Amino acid sequence: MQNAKGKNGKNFIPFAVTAIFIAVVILFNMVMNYLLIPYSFTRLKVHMLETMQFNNLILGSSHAGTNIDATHLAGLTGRTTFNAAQGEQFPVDSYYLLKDACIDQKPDRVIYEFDPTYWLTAQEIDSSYANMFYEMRPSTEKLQYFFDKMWKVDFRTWISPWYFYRSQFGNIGANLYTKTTDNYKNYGVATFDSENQTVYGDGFIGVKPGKWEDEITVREWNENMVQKDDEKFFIKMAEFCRDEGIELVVVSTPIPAETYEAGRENFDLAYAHMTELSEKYDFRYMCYNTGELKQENLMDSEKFADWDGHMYQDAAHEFTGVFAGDLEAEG
Amino acid sequence: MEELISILEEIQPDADYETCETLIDDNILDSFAILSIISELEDEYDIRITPAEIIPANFNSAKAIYAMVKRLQG
Amino acid sequence: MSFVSTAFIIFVILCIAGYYLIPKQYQWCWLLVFSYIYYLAAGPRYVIFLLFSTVITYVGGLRAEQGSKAAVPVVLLLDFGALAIIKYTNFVLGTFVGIAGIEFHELDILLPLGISFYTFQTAGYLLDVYWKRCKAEHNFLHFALFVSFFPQIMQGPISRYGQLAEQLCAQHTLDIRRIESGLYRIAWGFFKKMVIADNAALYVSAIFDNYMTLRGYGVLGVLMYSAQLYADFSGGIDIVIGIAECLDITLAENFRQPFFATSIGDFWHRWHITLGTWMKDYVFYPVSLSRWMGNFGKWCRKHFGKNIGRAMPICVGNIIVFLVVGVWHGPAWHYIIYGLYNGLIIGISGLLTKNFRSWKKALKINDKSAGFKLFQIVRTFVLVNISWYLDCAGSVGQAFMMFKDSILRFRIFGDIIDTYYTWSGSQEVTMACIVFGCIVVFIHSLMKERGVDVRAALLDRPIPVRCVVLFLLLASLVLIGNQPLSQGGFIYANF
Repeated sequence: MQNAKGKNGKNFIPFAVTAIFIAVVILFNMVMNYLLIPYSFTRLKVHMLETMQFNNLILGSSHAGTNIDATHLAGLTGRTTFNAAQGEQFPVDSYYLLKDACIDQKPDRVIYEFDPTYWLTAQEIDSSYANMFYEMRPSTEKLQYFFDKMWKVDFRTWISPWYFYRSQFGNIGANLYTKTTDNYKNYGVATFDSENQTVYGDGFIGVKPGKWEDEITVREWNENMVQKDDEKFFIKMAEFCRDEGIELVVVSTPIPAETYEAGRENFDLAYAHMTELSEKYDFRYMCYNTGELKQENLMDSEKFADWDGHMYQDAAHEFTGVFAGDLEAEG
Repeated sequence: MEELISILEEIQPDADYETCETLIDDNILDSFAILSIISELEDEYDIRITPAEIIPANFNSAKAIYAMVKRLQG
Repeated sequence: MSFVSTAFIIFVILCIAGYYLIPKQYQWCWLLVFSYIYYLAAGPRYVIFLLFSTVITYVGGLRAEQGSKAAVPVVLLLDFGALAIIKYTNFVLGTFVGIAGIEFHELDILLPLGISFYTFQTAGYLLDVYWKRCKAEHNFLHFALFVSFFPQIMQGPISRYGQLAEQLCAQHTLDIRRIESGLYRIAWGFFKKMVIADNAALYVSAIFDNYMTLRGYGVLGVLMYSAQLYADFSGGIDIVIGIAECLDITLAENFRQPFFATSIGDFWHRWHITLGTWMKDYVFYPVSLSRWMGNFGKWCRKHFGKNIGRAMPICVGNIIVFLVVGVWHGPAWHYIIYGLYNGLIIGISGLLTKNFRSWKKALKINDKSAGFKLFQIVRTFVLVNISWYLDCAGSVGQAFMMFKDSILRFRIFGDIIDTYYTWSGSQEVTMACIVFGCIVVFIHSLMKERGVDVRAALLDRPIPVRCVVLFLLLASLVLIGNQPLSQGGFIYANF
């Protein structure tokens, strides 16, 4: 019989050492994640998505996050609404957030906001690339998300997401403090209120008066420049909705008239492209910058905090009223 | 053989051609030196050395070079 | 699959794990399957070119072994023809059309991954068979593995059939020490890539892309390029060789402390070694020993005397080789001039070898002294860095302009990089990371230059020490490593 110090013992050592080493690496990363990754808006939104009940689910970029007042929409449509839209949410993220939400429930309607800029830009590998994945609960959907988004990029992105925050060692104290508060443990929204915005429990971000510094930038819409993954995952989302019996409504929220005019040709091409997709995949597309739904007063630049298209809270309330009416009229 | 060693010493001095067996492996003869040696050997011994012959086994020592020359002379 | 992606890491782990679990006689099959999966993952349409090169050189090898004289030129023409058309059509057309003054729109020709590397590798095999240096491979699948072996296909090293084939098809036993050794090599490669290359890349791209506005920073630019190119390329090779080592396969080394070189010729014995030896065996020797070169040598001897007559064909052969090296680097005039620059220096040095010896004797310079060696190393470093102007610039004009500005408008301090792309938001911290990484690499290189086998020495240390070293290497990737500017990964993977 071999004893532990004999040949079997020797063979066991490399595997034991490897296992301990991997455990140390995992522990190190967990500690660094806790110390460096701040309480993020994404953590809040993903938690709400996974725990709230809703009939309307809003997905998309920060335009939808600021321009569609979820509570007001709920009041007008009679359907509970959660606004899961936020900046840096690309179609692959929207798709997997939807699938994550559908683990426990099935919304009647998904409202997806189409911002052409996102479809023309490769997502940068930064903290927002990884954070929706990081905050999502473990599930087979998250595993699919991993294979569709995370595994083809730098391994540090998901193994050590704290590395995006490593220049912020000075914030460790504040992070630790925040994470001991009830606001953090209970997913409170108060942390994200600032002089620029108020965050609501339904996911809506109310932008306060005060102009943001930016310039009008126009992206050329070119079919060849559309990111393949963006269109692919949007179509997957459309097909998922169809298969699950969920109504899909795609909306392009108003942008300042000046911004639209500066890039009219490109915006029109982008909106036409989405119109084609809506006919092919049988969903409603509601564009408020061109066509029948366009209203000049909604594109008044006084209603926006920036040229990019983020509305002030009052204007968002007004737009939501119009949007709800159009939704229910055609729905 | 002495003739060969004097050719080698003229092209690349400071090497011990009597005993060294790693002229290529230790990079004592670089490609310039090898081609210079080949040029001289072809003239001196009226042989033709093709690229196929340029392998360490044929050039690692003076003895090996001499054996190659004799073989090519037929 | 980028080397830095999780997909590649999982791929390699699965490959190595399965390799040692399956019956040993099927290990080569396992490698072949994984090699083709790797290549297909890059894009199924690229595989056609890989298969084309594999099939024609396999058939060519068999015919050459049977004595066919036509097989070699025909297959080489097809093999290199494919490479030439894919890589150089736009350059050739663009040059001629440019001369005619017509606007040229580049043709959209896809560049199969690794084509420069596997074309050279298969051509080398064919010539080795023809010259009877090795027997032809009769098993097509064995040969396909030699061509497609995944660790090396993207950026080398360029392997020789006689050195690699037997290893690929042999039976391999798991050796934990070897796996550990391979792991250190891989981690070391990532360290160089992420800590040095990805940080230095910010300086290189800022200075070379904005040479019209950031004038005078050329010296800093080429120094950073030295760091970036060496760390990126040798780091990638470390990862390649480390993976192969985990599979109990020894690939040829591609770098040997190149910045310790004492001449440009020595530099090319230490930098991209397998390309240099390939060029030497398959271009330099055949060209220099050809009949027309022999006749040229006779003519030189008649007109210039014995010494120059003997050296001149070698000098010309060298220039031709480095022209090919330049062209290999890419379809652009600045690469060709880069090659010529190296070839001329080596060629002229060769011509003056005897003169150098007599001058040193007359000046009583001891060329074995440490001082003289240091002089040679610094001189070579300067010459190599001058060549980087041509290698890194987008055009000959840019290279010359930057070089001129380096002298007339020399600058080294200032706001240079776009700190948006740095992890720290600071140029100073980025530079500190580069300097730190370079110091670590320098110490490692110095030890190796003195004959110390650093990894073997590490493997003899107790387990806790080894674990700490590996942990520090991995921790440095996340603490001070930057992200690559392009998610594509490594520079030479685009060849």
